[in-house]
Amino acid sequence: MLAHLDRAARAAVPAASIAALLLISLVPWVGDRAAPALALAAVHYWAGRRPDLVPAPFVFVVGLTHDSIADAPFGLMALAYLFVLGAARSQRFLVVGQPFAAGWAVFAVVAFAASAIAWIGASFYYGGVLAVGAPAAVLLLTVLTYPAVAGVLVVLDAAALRRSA
Amino acid sequence: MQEYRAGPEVKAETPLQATLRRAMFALLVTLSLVALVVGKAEVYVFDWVKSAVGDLLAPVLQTVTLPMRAARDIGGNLGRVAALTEENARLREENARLRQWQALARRLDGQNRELRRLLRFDPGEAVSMIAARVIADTGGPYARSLLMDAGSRQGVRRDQAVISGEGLVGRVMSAGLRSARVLLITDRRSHVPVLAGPDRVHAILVGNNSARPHLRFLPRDAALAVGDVIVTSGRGGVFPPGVPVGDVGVPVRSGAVVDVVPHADWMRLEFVRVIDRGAPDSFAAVEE
Repeated sequence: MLAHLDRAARAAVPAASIAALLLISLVPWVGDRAAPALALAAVHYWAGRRPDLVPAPFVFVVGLTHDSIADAPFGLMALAYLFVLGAARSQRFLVVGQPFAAGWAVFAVVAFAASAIAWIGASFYYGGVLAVGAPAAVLLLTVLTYPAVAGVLVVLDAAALRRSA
Repeated sequence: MQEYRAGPEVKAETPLQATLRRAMFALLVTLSLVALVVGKAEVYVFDWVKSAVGDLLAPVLQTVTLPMRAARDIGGNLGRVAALTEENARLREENARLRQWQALARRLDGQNRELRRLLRFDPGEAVSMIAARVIADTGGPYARSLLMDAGSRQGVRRDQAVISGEGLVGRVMSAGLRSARVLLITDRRSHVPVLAGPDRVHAILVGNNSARPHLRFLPRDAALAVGDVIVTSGRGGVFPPGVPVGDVGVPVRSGAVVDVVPHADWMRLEFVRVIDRGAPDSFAAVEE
C-alpha cells in the first residue's frame, strides 16, 4: 500500500512541477513586464524525459488555466502547450542522451514555433496583425531561463523518479 | 551541464495505446482551435470559466504571491540602500513643497464648498471604495490585465473603475465570487474618455499592449506639451470624472500619435481600490 502511494507521489512530480511553475510565472512579481513561460519549458523537459507522466489532457488543462489566469484568448496557450508536448515527444531522439546544449537548442526552436503559433492565433482572435515585440520578449526570456528551469527539474528528476525506476 | 539520459523507466506503448494517445492529442488540438474560433464571437461561457478558474485559484495565488513579493522587495530594497541619503533629501524637499500644496488645496476646498453651497450645487453621486490585493497579473504579450482578491461578495461588479494611489489602473472586466479581473488602461481593448492638458481637451485614451497608451480623437488644434496631465472626463459613465490617468509623454506634433505615461506604477502595484458608485453607504468623493 505504502509502496503504491510512494510510486504515485513520485509519478505526480512532473505534473506538480509544471503546475507550480505555471503559478510562479503568473503571480505579479515583475509587474507589467514580460515574464518567461516557465511551465512551457517544464512541459518540454518532462515530455522529452518522461512522456508517460505528462498526458495530453493534463497539458491541455494547464494551457486553459494559463489562458484563464493570464486573460489570453481561450484555447491559445492550450494550443501552444500541446504543440510543445507533441514536438518534444516526437523529437525525443534529439534531446535524450544528448548534451544539454542540444536540448536547449531544440527547446529554443520549439518555443519559437509555439510562440509563432500563439501569435498567429492571437492575431486571428483580435482581428489584426499584432506587434511582435512583446511575444519576442517573452520568447527570449523563456529560452534564457530554460537552463535554470531544467536545472531544477534535473534535481527533481534524479531525486523522485530515478529511484522509482 | 548534465546530459539528458534515456531512462529505463519509460514504459513501451502497445499499438492500441499509441493510437488512442494520438487520437486524444488530435482531439485536444481540435478543441483548442474550436475554443479560439468560438471565443472570437465573445461567448460569455468562456468569461464565466475564466472567472471560475480565478475564484478557484485565488487562495493559491494569494499564498504564492506573498513570498514572491517579499523576495522581490528585499532585492529592491538592498539595491536602494546606497541611494537612501540622496532620496531622503529629495523626499524632504518634496514634502515641503507638498505641504504648500496641501495648504492651498485646503483653502480652495473650503472656498469650493462655500461656493457650491451658495449655488446649491448638486455634488452628484457619492462613491465608496473597495480595497483589494493584486494576486496575479499578466505580462503576457496578448493582454494587459490583473486578477484581484475581491469579487461580487465584496461588491465588485463589471465596469467599475479601479485606481491605485497614483491614478487610474483600469476597469473591472468580470467579477467572480471572490476574485475579479481588471482590464488595464494599457490593454488594447481599453478605451477611456479623458481630458488632456490645461485646456481640458476631450480625447480617448486607447491601450496598445505596451507600457504607453495613446491619445486618440484629439482635435487638430490641440496644444499639448510633455508633462501635461491627463484625467478622466467621466463621459460614458464608466469612469468617474477627474481621476488622474497619466502625463503626456512625447513631444507633440500636429496629427502625431500622443503617448501617455500612466501614473500607476505597474511594478509596485500591490493594492488597488475599486470605485463603487452605487453603494448605499457611501462616503466622500474619489479625491480623498
